[in-house]
Amino acid sequence: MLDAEKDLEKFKLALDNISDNVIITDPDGLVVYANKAVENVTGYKPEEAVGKKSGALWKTPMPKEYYQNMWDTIKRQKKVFVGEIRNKRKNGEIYTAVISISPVLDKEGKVEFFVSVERDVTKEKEVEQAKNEFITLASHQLRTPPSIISWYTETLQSGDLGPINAKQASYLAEIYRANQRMVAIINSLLNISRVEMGTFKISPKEVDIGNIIDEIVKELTSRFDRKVEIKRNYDPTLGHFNVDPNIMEIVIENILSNSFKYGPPEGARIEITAKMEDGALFLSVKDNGIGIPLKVQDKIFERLTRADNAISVSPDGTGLGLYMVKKIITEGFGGKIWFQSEENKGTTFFISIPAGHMEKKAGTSTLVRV
Amino acid sequence: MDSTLINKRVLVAEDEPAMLNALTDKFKREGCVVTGAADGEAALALAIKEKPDIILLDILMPKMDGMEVLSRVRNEAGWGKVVPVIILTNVPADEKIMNSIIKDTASYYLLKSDWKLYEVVERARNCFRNPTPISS
Repeated sequence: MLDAEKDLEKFKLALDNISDNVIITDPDGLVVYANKAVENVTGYKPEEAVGKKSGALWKTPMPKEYYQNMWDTIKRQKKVFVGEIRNKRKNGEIYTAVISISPVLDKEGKVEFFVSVERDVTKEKEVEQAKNEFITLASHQLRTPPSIISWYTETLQSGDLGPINAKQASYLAEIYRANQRMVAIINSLLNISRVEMGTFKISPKEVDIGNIIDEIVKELTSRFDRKVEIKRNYDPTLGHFNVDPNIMEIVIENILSNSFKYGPPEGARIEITAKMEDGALFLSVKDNGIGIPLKVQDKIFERLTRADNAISVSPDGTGLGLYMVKKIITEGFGGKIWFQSEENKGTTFFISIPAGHMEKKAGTSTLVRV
Repeated sequence: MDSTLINKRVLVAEDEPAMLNALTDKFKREGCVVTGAADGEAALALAIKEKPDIILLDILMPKMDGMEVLSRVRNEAGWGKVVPVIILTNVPADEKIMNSIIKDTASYYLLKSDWKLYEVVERARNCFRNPTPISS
């Protein structure tokens, strides 16, 4: 057998044995080849598809605009089309697939044929939907009792139902505060569930990191109501960075709020650095707070870990913030987070996020600020 | 007392009795005339019949969810297109919910666990201080 024939045989063998549908059509969409996987996925034998318009057998009515966009991309723009599509198997069952259609051009740049590769993602979609439904229901069920406690406590505190004495007011304040802690824990746990299940949305856009940091500093200064000296080292050439602003706010707020919370009562200082370094966004937050004791430093990014000195200063912390931040930075952003700390001297957190790594992720839920 | 809400007719659609009670009592203390509905179908029927001045709408309710109620209210001509709707829920705002609300200028989304009662009242007051113009 000639080498070219051997190669062809090899490629045909490969195509016939992969699990994804592969269909080749002429420029008008008439099928000239369909691999064996077509039958596994759709129920139709390859020979039933050859000679017919692509998708004639298994097409379900996607919106008209979907097909218009698809044909415009592959035929007029001569670019690869990638999208999600719903089709119908021979037994009538609807399935969801990710499809990629590539135009193949001849020497004159005219479309010679289209190659379509389709992967059945129905099971993954069902699992994702189940996860989302669980998170939605869990979110609703978990938040309802603290919402009730909050509103009823607030009503009593307001005096709307009659005056309350000082002791009653202080007890109600404790109930309200404990309830707010519960809400914070619930929000943190829901965020972590979304991060671990991968159901959260990432919508990167060009943002001014300095602005995000400054807004969070303003909020925290008001929330903690204390004097903190802030030193900013923002590289003036930093410009805008492509990142999901909502998620970035959550990361920065978690790190900065620790610096505010655990800073000394007098003379608190926080130094914030933001610059590009080796193709990555580099952030550091240095404080002169209580520091992290050596014996817990290797566990500080674990769930529910809080150092004793931190608990003494702030009994209300959830022990979930740094765990979530690390998960987001490493798994969501492809970055790194590390720190240096000495007890009673202070802590510096370092974050590095590579540029151009963050891609839009079509999750269905958003992380919330806790 | 601020008179913005006095005699305003409020429909509260909420299936959790304690929350329905808290909202009803609060808005009554503000001088409103309050009607309550404990499921989506009842809420829609009351809304269409009474055409309240403002609707407080939970999402997860029996028989019909709040987003379906909102969609059907907005299908009503005149009043339905402009009545302010405060979506008051503990369901996280997923893409589907936010896409519906972004297109709807008279809707607001509030997470119950994040909003105090007096803040919900203030949001309702703002709906009448800055009313949405009636669309043709």
